[in-house]
Amino acid sequence: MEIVVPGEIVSDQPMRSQNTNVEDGKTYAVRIALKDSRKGTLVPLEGVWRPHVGDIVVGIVTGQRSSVYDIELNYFERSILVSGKYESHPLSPGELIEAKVKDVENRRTVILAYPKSLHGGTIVEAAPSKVPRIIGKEDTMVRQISEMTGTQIVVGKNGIIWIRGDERGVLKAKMAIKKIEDEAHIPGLTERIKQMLEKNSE
Amino acid sequence: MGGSSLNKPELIIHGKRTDGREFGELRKFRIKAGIVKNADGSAYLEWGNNRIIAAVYGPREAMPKHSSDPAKAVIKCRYAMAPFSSLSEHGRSGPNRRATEISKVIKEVFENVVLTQEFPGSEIAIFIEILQGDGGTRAAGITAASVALAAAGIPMKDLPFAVSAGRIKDKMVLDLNMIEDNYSDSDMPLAVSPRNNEILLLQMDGGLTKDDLMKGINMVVESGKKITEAQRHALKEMYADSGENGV
Repeated sequence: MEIVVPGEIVSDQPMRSQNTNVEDGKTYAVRIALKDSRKGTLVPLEGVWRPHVGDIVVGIVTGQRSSVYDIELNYFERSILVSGKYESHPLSPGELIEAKVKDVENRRTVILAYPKSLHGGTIVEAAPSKVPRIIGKEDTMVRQISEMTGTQIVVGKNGIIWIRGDERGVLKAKMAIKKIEDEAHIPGLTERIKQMLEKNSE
Repeated sequence: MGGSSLNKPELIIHGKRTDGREFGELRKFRIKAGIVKNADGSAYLEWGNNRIIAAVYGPREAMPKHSSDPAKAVIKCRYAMAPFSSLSEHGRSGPNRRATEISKVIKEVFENVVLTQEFPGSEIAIFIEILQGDGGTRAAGITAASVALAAAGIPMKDLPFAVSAGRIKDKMVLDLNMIEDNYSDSDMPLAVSPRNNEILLLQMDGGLTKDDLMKGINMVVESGKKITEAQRHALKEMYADSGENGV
């Protein structure tokens, strides 16, 4: 694993891959990223969330207009949820929800569906580029944190994370998330988080 | 400036410049990335006696809304000299004619490298604050801002850098400091995209012959290798100190 920065040559061959730019037959990185030389992919280290259909997000209901709810996702475009279709009860402003991205209209407005209300708990914000590591391969990381701290966790792809549990558990889960954010680029993360949580539970 | 004065300080003494540099030598510089925690990306640059902080926010919702572009992100740039940054002229803070112009040209440099079409409707805000100025601040500001943009994870084709070249009598010199800037015969800040040496900014005070111009451009491009190296190093260093044995 190696860090590449914008303008750095990734390959002397033209390569079609995310976060790269091909010019004069050479492939250049366009973002600060970790280069996985085996797979030839670039994993961004920084940056904002780009919505994709199917992403699970955590947001706050900020308002209601004739037929849609406005949802705040920490994203620079509007996010809406069509009302009266999916929700089991009318949502009120200030409510916290978990939802799925159903569509991204004109590459801009995020359309949500399948909301679930999140009662109680707290939210923490993480850098969206670190969210895949917080979730882990097939949820391994988040499941490990959840089990070892006795908390319920929902990780939104937009970088908002909801945690509910007893005070100690929530604090430990927050510390684990912070550690993942700081060390996302260093291999062997799952093991280190496990050790940290075990040490703290004594 | 107007007028003419022959009462100029001697800028080249015994074949060296006033601060002891060779004609094609850069001032000493140091870059550190990620120093403003609240910003999405930031950089601190010491370039000779210049001290500069650059911070980047975005892509975020464009405000005011009418400034947004549905096809691409808009780049906003604010270059400002702190009121205490240099001896005179900049005693009053806030935008003035000079700062407005520099903000505009810096914005145009980055419009050519940032992949703005990836974030339609958003804005990317670049703030460059000169804490201490000693000539060549717009160039140093560009060098710092490109590190800050990359640190924010903003997709860009390249990491541009900028340096000025100028003429003192019949000699072409690189990276003019304040006194050389004030009394030289010509001064030309250049911003370059190092992957293909594309020129992103070229301004000029005074006059140069075609030969001198090409010589100046070559000096800047040549010096860029060292600057690009330092910029890349600063970005990678952000991830170096945390980890392994730490925490």
